[in-house]
Amino acid sequence: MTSQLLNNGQAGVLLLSLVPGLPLLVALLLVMRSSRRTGMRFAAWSTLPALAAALLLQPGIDLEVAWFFMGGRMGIDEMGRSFLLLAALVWGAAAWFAHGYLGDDPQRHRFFFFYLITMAFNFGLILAQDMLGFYLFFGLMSISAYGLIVHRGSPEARRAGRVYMVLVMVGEILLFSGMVLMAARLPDLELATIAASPTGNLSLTLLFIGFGIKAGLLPLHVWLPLAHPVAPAPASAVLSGVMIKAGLLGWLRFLPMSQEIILPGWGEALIILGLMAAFYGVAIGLTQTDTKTILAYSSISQMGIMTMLVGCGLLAPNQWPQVATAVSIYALHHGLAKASLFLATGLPMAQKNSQAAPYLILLPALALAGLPLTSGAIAKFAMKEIVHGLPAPWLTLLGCVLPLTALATTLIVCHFLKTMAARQPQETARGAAVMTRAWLLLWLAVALLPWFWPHQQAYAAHVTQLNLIWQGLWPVLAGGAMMLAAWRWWPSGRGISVPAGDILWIFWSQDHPPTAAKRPPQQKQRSDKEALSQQLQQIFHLVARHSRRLEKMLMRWSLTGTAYLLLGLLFLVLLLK
Amino acid sequence: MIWQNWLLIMILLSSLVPGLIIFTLAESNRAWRTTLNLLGATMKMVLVLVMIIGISQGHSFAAHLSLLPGLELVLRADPLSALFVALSTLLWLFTTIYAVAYLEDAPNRSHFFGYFSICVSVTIGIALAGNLLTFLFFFEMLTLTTYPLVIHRGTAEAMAAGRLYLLYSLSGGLLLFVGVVWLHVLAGQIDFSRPGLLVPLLVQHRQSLILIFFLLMAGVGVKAALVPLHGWLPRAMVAPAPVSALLHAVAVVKAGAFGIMRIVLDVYGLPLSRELGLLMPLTLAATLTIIYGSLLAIRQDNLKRRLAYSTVSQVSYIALGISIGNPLAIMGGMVHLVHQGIMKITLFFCAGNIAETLGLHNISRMNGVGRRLPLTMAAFTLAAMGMIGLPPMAGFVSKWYLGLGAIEQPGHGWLLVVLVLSSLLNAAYFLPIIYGAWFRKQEEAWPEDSGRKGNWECHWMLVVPPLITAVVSLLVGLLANSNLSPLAWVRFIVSTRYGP
Repeated sequence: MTSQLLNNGQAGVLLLSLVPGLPLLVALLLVMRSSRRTGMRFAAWSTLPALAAALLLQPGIDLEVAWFFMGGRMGIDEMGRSFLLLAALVWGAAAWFAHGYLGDDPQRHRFFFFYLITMAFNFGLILAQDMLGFYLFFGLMSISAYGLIVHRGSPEARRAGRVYMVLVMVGEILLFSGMVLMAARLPDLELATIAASPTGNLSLTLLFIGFGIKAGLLPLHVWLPLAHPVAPAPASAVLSGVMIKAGLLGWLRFLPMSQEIILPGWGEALIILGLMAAFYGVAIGLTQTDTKTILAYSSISQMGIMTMLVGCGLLAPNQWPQVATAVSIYALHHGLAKASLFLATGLPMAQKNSQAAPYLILLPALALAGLPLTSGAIAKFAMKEIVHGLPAPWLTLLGCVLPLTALATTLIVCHFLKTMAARQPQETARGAAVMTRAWLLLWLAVALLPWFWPHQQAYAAHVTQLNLIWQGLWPVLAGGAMMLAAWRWWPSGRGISVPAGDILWIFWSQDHPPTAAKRPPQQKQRSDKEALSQQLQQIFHLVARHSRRLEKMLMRWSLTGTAYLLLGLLFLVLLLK
Repeated sequence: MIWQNWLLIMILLSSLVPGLIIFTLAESNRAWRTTLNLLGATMKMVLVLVMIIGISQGHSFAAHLSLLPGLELVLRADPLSALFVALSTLLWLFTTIYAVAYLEDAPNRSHFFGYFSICVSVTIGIALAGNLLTFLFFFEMLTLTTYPLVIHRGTAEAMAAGRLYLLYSLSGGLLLFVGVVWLHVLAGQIDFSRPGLLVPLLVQHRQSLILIFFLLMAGVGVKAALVPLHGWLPRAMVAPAPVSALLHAVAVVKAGAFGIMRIVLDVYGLPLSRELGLLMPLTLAATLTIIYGSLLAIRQDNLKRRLAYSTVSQVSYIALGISIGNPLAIMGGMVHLVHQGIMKITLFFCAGNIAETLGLHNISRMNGVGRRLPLTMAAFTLAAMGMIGLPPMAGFVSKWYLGLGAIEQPGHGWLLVVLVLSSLLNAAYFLPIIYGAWFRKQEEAWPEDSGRKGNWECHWMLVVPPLITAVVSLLVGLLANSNLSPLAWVRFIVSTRYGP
């Protein structure tokens, strides 16, 4: 009944504009001292329009706003609906959680201000149905998220923020160039047109990397493991649960999704890149000692799997509709599970009312590994269906490799659980009850959503079959056994330790020593690195000095000289004529 | 109708007359001075509005004054002049309000406001000039009326900067003068409304036309601060903040950029410019200026000096758009005339607030200033984001159209790299300021603090103008597609005059 009312006419359009509008309004309330209390009260509730839109609106509703920016269109489509549901659930639960987590942090208003605007822009980009609208909200979201990352203000947070901002700016210009190149040859800028038009390789590359930065694509993933541990837990939850999915959504929106367009090489490249990330993330993640860093590397690994899925779509374009569904399912599953794990790292476990949490946490953790009868199993099943439709060599290859990714995920999940268990019990926080309630809400979504959300339901029927259960179970069991063996026989403390941000340390000189992780003694390499950075600095100074001299010269060389020179030249020309 | 002929004269006089009267007022007569200023600014606003509505309905406005047979001063309002007139009028109003508060208790205010008003009248004259001779007349006048403003403080540094400014401008003016006279000799009176005028000379006087073009460009290029003619601009920032604001956003630098537009589009015309191969050198000069200005901006620690180098870089977007020469790029360049003006005036207002309220001039000492001056820094942040070209700010719209134009013009695709690089450089010199102001803690006491004024962080007339212009710079981007945006007007200009 309500659903009918919403889907005909003004009510639906109103709801659609409230989705990003309400959080922005509440954020405005937070700016002024006098209305802060009201703003804080409504902060978590302002996700409700998004939740309502995701649950009630039928795909196809849209709202054209010609005067807005460069002509905009907002609307809901199948894929957007799934992403919006994920965003609404995670942002809502994490906002609630943040109320307890931040307690009476004097800067909590600033945090919630950035939280709400980032959230509004995130909703906006999901609803955007034209190129510039998507780009607008994507850019705004990326920039506002900076406020979440540096919230704590510690030196690590600032460093992470700097790396993040540099990558955001690089991404921004890559996207700008890619979109200009794309727009120059399109009749209009609607996403539907883009999906159906062939695109040049150059603009495709630019857009792929531009969105890839957000999605944690190798080797541009470096901001993830730096930003996650320093951000407050609810911020990490939305970063990893929802915001990195915006990069994924960007790929799905801007890569050509038409059955007629075949891009040789692209599919293969994405599959290989994705698989590399899937294993690289786990390998580095296993060396980490901080729970949130481990989760960040796990996100890199999981995003690798989603990259691979997009690659499958490019390789076999006739499967695009199924691929889109599979990616949506996977993103929904991973977003909810990962967000609930991130929130769990902020839960005071020893608290009376969260005693069950150490056991409950097993569900989202093992769902990531694809344990049968969880959302992970459904997502993996959807993925296998796609792989079955691939051409010959890839079918066999991925058939072998996919269980291994599940096994790898199990390893990192076990590593995370062990690190969690070994943590010192935290002090009793005052907001524990609120945090636990918010976390349980998200936990329920992880547990129950697969069985009710239409997309997943279609696959859910299959995952109760016995042979499929076994297929999902053995990698988890094998991974668990390997981990147990390793703990039993591998002396602890003798592992390899890689600083968070891995390859980034190659570029950083000695004045930024890693604080979070122990650095392996590598004397020789260090001196090489130092020499390199010194040389670079020298070159920079040289360029700077010369540009200063040139500028001074230009200043001194006043224009009278030039003017008379030109005049002389002129008369010469006239005389010669 | 009679009123149509008088409208343009009235627009000119609406700031000239108050300016002249202000000279005669006593220094202490603040009330009259302010009233006259605001009255003039408001009246001009109304008149300009009438003019714009008239133009959009197809009326034409013109006024003639014959000097000698074949030599006449012509004022004519076409859509392009309306764009520049509207910008000048709007920003003059805000700058006047700002200047009243900024110069409170400063000496020689009558002198200042008098020249200030005349300077705006002259700028309007440049905008409304209907032929090359009129343009030259007002262009030279501009040098003479802005000089007293640059040296207003009377310090040794200000006098030196003023001398340099005169030297550059007069030499530039000389070149422009030679070019204009030469062109008159060849072609007679050059009317902006008849762009095909020079085409018959193509066969016989090809070399002369090329040479004249470079003379004219060197002349207007000094004011537009094209590298290597930009030396005066960073030095001229010793002037009081409202002067810098006006110099950078409206009067001098913009007059130069406007001159480039007129010469390329209306004197030579695009087909002839392309035929003579004049556009590529201009593109290269603009590109060089964009990159070089930004590179130098990064190295400045003085906020106003950094902003000055940023102007050097940003104003060349306009020349770049014109030199690419297709409708999309021209739209991008033309609309940047307005966009850059609104954003840059905001930045200079903010820099003035910071210097006036806290005595801070250097970026390295501005940490934590966002807590003391939140509204000022909010305006600064918005405008700086626009300069970087982040959506949905004004700067993005310009950059988008320039980018599209560059791609569509064969052989100009590489300019996309320039645009993108310029964005990165802009980010490199604006983001640290924003970061320091908001996210760092104050390290030392402010050199001076003139204190809060009631509920405001400093005098409300210093805070409100930048806030308004910052919001406007957001709105012209956010509502770029509406009918009332500068972009819509520029689209109208290009489709009526320079379309395919």
